[in-house]
Amino acid sequence: MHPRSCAAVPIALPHPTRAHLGLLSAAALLGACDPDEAAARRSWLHTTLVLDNQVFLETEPELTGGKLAAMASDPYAYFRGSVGQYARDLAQAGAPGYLPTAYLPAEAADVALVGDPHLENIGTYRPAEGPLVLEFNDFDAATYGPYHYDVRRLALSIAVAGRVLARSASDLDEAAQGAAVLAALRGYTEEIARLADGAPPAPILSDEPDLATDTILRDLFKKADEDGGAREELADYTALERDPELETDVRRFQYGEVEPSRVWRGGAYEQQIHEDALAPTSADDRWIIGQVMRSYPATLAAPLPHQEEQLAIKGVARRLGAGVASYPVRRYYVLIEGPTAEVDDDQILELKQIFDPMLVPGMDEAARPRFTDNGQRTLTLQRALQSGPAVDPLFGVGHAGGLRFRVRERTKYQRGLDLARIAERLADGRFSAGDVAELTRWAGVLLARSHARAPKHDGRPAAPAIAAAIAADPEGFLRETVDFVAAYAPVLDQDYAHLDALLADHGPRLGYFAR
Amino acid sequence: MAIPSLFALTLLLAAPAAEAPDAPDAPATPAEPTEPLAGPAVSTTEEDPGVRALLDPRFASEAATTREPETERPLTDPAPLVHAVEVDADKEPWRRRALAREALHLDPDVALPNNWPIAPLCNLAEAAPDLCVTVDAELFAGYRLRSLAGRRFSEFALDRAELGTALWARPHRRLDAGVILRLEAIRSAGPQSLIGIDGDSMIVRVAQAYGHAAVHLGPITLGVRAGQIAERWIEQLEKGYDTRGVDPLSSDRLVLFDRADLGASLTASGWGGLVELDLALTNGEGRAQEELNRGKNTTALLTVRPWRKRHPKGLIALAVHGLYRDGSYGLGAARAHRGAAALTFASPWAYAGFEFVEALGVREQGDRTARSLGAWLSAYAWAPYLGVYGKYDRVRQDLALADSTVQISSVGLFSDLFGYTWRRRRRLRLYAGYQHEGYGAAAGPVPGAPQAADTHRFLLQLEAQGLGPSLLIKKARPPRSI
Repeated sequence: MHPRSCAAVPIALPHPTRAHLGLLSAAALLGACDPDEAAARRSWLHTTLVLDNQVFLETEPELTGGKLAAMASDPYAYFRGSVGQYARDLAQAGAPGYLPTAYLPAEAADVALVGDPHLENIGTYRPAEGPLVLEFNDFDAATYGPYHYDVRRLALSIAVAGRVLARSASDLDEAAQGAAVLAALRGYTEEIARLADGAPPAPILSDEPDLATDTILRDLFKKADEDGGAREELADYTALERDPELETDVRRFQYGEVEPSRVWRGGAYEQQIHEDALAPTSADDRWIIGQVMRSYPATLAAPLPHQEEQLAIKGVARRLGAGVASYPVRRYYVLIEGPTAEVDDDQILELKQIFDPMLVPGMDEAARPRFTDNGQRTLTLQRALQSGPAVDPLFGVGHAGGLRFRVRERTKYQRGLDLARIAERLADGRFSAGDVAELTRWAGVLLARSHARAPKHDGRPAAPAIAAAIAADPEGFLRETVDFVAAYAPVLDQDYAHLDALLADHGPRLGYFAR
Repeated sequence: MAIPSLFALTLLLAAPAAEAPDAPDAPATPAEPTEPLAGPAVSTTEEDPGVRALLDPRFASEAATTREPETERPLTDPAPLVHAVEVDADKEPWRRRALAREALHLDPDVALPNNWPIAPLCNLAEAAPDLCVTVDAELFAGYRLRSLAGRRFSEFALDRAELGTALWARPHRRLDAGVILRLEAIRSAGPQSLIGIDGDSMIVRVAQAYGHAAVHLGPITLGVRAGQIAERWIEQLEKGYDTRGVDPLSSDRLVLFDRADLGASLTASGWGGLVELDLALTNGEGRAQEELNRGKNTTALLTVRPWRKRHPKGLIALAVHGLYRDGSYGLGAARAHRGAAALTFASPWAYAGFEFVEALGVREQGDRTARSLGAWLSAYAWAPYLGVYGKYDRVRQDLALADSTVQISSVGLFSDLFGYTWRRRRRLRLYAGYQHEGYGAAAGPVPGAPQAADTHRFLLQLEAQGLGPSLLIKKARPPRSI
């Protein structure tokens, strides 16, 4: 479209076929940049990463250094941590992702968006009744906007994941990676066309017959069912101790590392990156937790049978090492009594601070929020975009002063897709490239069902508007989205390399010093 | 904010008068607002209906109708901003000075809206030391009905609520100094953000806060400012832009220039504002950030007013402006250079102008070049009751990208409660206008879908401004030196 970023030259694909999609990686070869343009892009990345993380750099500098170092772990980690850069690139003139769409009537510009739909934000839930269900599981960035923002983000995640997974699977070549992207897009367009009549879409259940062919999703459901049933979260984070006064066993959090942390090194710097650890809470933390736990019950979708007893607090801890984009945010685990006084059915709640959604430059009026705070936004949009409030009976939000927290049950029944596990199984032959394509098709279907479920900003159903936008030329929409991915995925590769250099030059806080 | 009461306060203040710069021992005094102007207290102004109208609004209409054909006088006097006024020798000197200060330097016969560094707003006595304090307030608020991509939305909006105070001191006859503090109300959360104070409450922040000094050396005046200083580009252009209450300049809307920044500036003004050169060194991060990189913004702004003419109803001035800025933004020191040129025209009947800004780097996008063009015209059709305005802004968001143009067209009517001569002292103006914001195919937040951002607005906007001397000073004890 324009030569601003050397990697941003879109590749015209006459038809979105597997062969053409092989050009996804060929586009990366265009990444040989003009040094001035590369320097400008690096400066842009430096500036925007600091702006987006400034609140954390001021309040949690050590953890923010960990986040930025974690983003340098691999391209997918960078992709997860750079949603702010993605939003800018998508919406700012002159940016490499600022590529036009021909499939956006005004009616489809105010759809409820997942905000950050990517493969590792897909996971399982255990509703109060019935089998496990597949859902997006992170709505921190949910907002209203053009539907294709979500579609492009999901397709991009698959392209980036494909490159990461290709290191472990010889059969996941460029064509197979392209096929995975295309499968997701076809899954989306076909499902949205099927839902065009506005009928409420069904949840994707673990016992759905169509899932029988999806090896990766079956593995996900199986693992979630096993670990959830075994209460693995209690084994990971808590331990039973004998209370000498009560002469009974009590469950307490075990502080320390569940998974060992690692150290990032670059240039003259090094930075600890937590993987999975619990730390004691400060007095401020405990005040926040107390406030959140007081306000949270009122937001439950349905009252719990013995709510007061069930939510009685038995222990609190600060969780470290979770997420990438949200790595430095306040995240607490709260051990609660559970349905009975027995220690075996204790439950863990996760309290995670919520910030603003993806801020899209120039969308000030179009994306004017209709919520009073981020708690209300997350609560409303998550329930609207998921298959129902019963998906997580303990889901709600709470507040402490001006801080807003999302509360959910921390159970192993809620298990997210894990690229590392997929890579491992691709390497040992248990998964194949075809399985990846089948997985991504379901990811597209899931996104379509989420879009179709939630009313638009104007209250009307979204599916008819989206279906109408695509209906005239669905293949054109696929081609346009593939073009976007082909043009933008190499930019992510470059940015990932730039981040590596910035960290080595300026350290894990990118040269920013809190004042 | 207590805008209405402040505005009412300024309306109650005495009418402006003038002083005699050539007679330091005979400070000026205004006429008592409740007394007729005829008599020994004011003689020179009696011969000048334009100035007399300033002293007492009851004479305003007379001034407009009985004024002799205007005389053209060259504006080369370095301190041409006041008229000689004979004073009542019976009045106490400190009282006379207080009244003179109260008059302010707002003679529309000669004064542009802001004459710094040539003259302070107060009529400080030539016989230093002297000082005064001014207060001012601005309110732009209204109701608008918007149609964005066919979806209608209406709202009451507060675009500006500002309160300012300034201390003006004259420690020496050739030196003026002082401090300025302006507070502004803004939403506590940014656009699209839900993280503010108690939701998205309005908060008050410092808009400008700086010290200033000016040295008068014959026809040349040298001024310095330091602190969170005003952006001189906007300050200079708004002298020729009279409808700021309904719409900002294109470069202001796009924040190609922030209205204030931390730093210092040096201004050289010659021959009563005929030529003005501003040099500024600022952080480049604007009002909302601390300095984030080692680079400083260096700006040179030249203003030439080749045509200035006195008229009984006010000054007529044509100004040419040129600017270049070498700047940087953010921790990554993204390029933020600016090249700009403008032509502005101000007169009692009409304002017009044209602004061109080439932005080499837009915020964090150092490699993006954007171009902004703006043209405006406003004029009284039946002063002061009815005026018309029109404005057209054309923004190329990215010169490397075809069809990345945003066009904003505005037309409307306005009506003033007070006449033109009072425009700096008190203004109550109502606008009724229409604005269309149209996007090119590769413009706006969603490229390829200009219809998703196409916006029509109908606006009812109120502009209220008031400026006056502090009552505290008026009632103060006389300085010991007098």
